[in-house]
Amino acid sequence: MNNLIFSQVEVGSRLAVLEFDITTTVVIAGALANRDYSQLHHDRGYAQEEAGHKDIFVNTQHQAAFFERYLYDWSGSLGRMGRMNFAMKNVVYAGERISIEGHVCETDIDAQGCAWAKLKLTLSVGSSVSTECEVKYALAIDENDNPWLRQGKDWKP
Amino acid sequence: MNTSTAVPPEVINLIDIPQYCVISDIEVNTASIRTMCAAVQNSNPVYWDRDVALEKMGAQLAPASMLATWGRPELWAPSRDEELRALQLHFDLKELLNLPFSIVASFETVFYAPAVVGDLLRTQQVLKSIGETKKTRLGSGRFWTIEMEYFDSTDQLVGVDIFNFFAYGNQEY
Repeated sequence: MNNLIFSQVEVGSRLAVLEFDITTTVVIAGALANRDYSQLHHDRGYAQEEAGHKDIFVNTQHQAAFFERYLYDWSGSLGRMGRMNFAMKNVVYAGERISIEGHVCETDIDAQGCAWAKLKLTLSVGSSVSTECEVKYALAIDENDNPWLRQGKDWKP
Repeated sequence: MNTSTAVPPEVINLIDIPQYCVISDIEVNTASIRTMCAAVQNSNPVYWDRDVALEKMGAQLAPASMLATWGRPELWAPSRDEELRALQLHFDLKELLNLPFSIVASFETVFYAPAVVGDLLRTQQVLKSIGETKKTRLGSGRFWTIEMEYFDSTDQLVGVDIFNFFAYGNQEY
């Protein structure tokens, strides 16, 4: 398992691309796991005939979970999200194949001694970007640090 | 048709006043966590192996991105007659302002503390701001910002979802 240390990270470095097939089952499993019962995420007839979509589609928290998994692949278990924002441009339908890419755009150690990387991520279908995401992500500053143990005044996301 | 551009006082009075303060009807739980991790093939052992979680984190924690999961109501409960919606304040505003359609213009989550397996989170919804009437390609309407705040059972702030909505109607507003 990868355990990324802050000193190993450079501004501009790119993360490995993740590709994933979004099956109908994946869309439904993700929506139900985060307890989103909107018909848009499990009822193809409703999505197509009532809402005018091509198919059911991935919900917001499911996309967030994809980004979190992507960051885990990069950093290992000690990486911790502090802040995440989204801009969704297009929905991701069942049957599509997504690719997630990202790069480090800023690094910083705050006054509390917490090491942060700011990353820009995209989730795309083919050449079309569906979602843009910015994340403020804490990394272990050395082998003895664990950002997950920070709390209160030592954690300023 | 509502032709006034003034925000009604019943809406102004909601700003910064917590609404729908409720304790969740579902605990943070490993079954939901594993289903979510399976849906995205997240192999982080902290979410699959209790012993690893206790050794590395000191507790079984939920993925940060699942925050909203722990504040969503069940579809049905024996004590309720009506279905509750996850962000009821937003639907209240749509009704109060006669703006039937809406989109999420942007969305941000800030993660202050991990959600721990077994805990029941408390949530509240707060209208932070409401904008002037605006015309966009979707129609005439207003932007507003609602924060969904999550607290653990010790009243520690776990996280905040910040939604910027644009709600609009078919007619000139």
